[in-house]
Amino acid sequence: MKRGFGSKLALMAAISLVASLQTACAQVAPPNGGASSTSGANGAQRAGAGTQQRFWYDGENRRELQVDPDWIVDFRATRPNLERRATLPGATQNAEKEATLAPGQSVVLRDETGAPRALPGGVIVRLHERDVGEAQKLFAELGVVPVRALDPQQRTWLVEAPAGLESLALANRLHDSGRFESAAPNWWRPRALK
Amino acid sequence: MRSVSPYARAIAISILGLLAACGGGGGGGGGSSSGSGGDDGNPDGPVQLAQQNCSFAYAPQKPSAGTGADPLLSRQWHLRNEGQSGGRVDEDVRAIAAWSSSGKGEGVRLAIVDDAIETLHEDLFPNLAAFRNYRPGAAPDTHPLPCAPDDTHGTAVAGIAAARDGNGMGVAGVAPRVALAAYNALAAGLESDVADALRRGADVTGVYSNSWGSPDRTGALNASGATFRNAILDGVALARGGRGAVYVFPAGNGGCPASAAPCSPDNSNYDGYVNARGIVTACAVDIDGQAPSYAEPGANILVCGMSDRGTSGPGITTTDVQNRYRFDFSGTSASTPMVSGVAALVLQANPSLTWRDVRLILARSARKNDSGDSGWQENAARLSVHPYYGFGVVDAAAATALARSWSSVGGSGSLRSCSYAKSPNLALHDATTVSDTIQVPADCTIGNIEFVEIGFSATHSYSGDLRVELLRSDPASPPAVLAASRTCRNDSGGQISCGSYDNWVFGSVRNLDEPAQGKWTLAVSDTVTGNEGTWTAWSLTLWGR
Repeated sequence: MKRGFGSKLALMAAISLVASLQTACAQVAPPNGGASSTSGANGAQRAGAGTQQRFWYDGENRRELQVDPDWIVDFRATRPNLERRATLPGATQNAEKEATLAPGQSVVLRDETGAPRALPGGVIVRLHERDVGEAQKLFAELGVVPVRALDPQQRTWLVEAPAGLESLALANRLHDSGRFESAAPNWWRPRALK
Repeated sequence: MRSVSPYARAIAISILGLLAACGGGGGGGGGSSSGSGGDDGNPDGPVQLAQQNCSFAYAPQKPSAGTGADPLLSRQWHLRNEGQSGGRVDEDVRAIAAWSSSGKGEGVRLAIVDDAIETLHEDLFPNLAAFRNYRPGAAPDTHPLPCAPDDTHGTAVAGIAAARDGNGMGVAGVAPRVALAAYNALAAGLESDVADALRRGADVTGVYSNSWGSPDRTGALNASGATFRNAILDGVALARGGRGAVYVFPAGNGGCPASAAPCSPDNSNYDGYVNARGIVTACAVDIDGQAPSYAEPGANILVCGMSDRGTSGPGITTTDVQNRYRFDFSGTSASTPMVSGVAALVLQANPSLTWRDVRLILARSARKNDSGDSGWQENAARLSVHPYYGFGVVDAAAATALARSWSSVGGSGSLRSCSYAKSPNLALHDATTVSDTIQVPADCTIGNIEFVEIGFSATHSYSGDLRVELLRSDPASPPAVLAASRTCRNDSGGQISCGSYDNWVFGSVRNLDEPAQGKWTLAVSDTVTGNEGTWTAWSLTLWGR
């Protein structure tokens, strides 16, 4: 179903929130003029002091992200969605704001276009083909707990990690271990119904 | 016109139903499936409803069966257009013509991967073969039913592909006797759910229909991610005993009609989902056979289905939530399940076909719509191709006829590739065009290209300034515009970054059936003054036989 037409989008709430968030956080790039860095520029930069840069691995490609300190996704809800975060009075630094997150909540991270992502928990790992029969042994060796296989061949697995930045750290650690073909967070991302 | 189902009415006074629908509490959680479909819901068993707070109420009972003509069939101009809704006669997908010669999808499983789907709908349940509920807190083997008034999308999509015919109710799908699998993998927005659903039941699933993708009308690059791409590559390589599944995704609705200004028009090559190898990218044409106002161009577009104009006139008639029907479904969400339904009819006509065969059959049998439009050009293999229409509108009758006599080109195992990479390190100055050429040598023996991947890396302080075009002069083939110069915008019209070209991969089918050998040139223009950069690298991977 087209955006802007028809009466209903199943993800309308998420998308409209994304839209309003992008509006609020839009990096006002020079109107095809004056030089400025557009890379990574978004609401996090506007927020100033709270900005924190992170990264993840999309396959072998390292992708930069920035924490948006003003928004969270609450995965305790039936339908996870972006929410403007409530913070402790006086909490202006990112670390202080992070401390206000409850288990099951995630910070919002943004790529350079401002598109949001969040960390519901879990890491998706893809085994090297040679290790498919040794998955449990490998998991035990690395101290990770499998949740479920995501394919009939049992090559791609969701493994346990708590919601939030801990799962990003685990994904990067598993990637850096070299023991997997890929390791990436189990991202939450808004997708558009067409 | 809209009816309320007997079971929906019954629930209003059914304590059991109320408890089931609105009782609250948790279900089985994420489950522990192996991704093999082992704990999918079973339509033959008792109806299991998730326990959650919902606006909609459903009774734990199956809808009654019926016989007789489908009362809304005549409204479904996309199946056979006799001018009943206006527009051009014969602008349709030739589905009814195909049914009489090839069947209606019997024996083929078609999965809808979407948000909630009303699997207990009277016109969907008779074809239901499998389902899984991904909604947080719901047991996986419960029905993936809509929960809120805006949860209508998946139900509409499912009806277009797979509504039951001849049951005296509602509408008919393009493949009205297909075995329907319903996966609400977008319910929580999680990567793991999508990855799971795209391989679920892969041993028996012929087609996965997906009416979702990247946000539209931003102009920004939106990557899909390795998890998604691996799911597709697994599916085409391993599903159906190695013959592979057909994955259909929408080109998108990112065109910018005047009413949508300010907005940034998309090209489907900005969408990482439909650039992925293994995807059938589906566009839409309207009841006149022309591009709707929301259409996007793209080198990855293979074929179109029918949909609305985007301005006025008829939409698509299909199933709606609460056992109702609707007449206004729209966008490439509507055209995508039509293409999927035709793919299912093709697989029924010849079950031995591979995923590659189906793609080729859809393209070669497609109908050249809007034939007077100047966008149509012949590629070097003499195939007519159009930036908005790909190879044209799917023609179920022609496709199933071709399928019956088709000699398979093989599956993923026999697909060959040739890869080349260069690092031109060319400065991208304002208002200039630079180009670089890869000469594919004779030792690349691909005589028939099936897919082209163009990797592109450039540093530029505003990537939207760049126009990227793929050219072939030997043999001569029409240019493919992979990216246009643009200002990227959010929904409110505010300017945003367009993303960076950091090994961004454009997919293209424009060179279908051409030989690989020859000159391939990438031309990059910085059309706007003020920002400059460097074209650091590009790669060319040709897939075919």
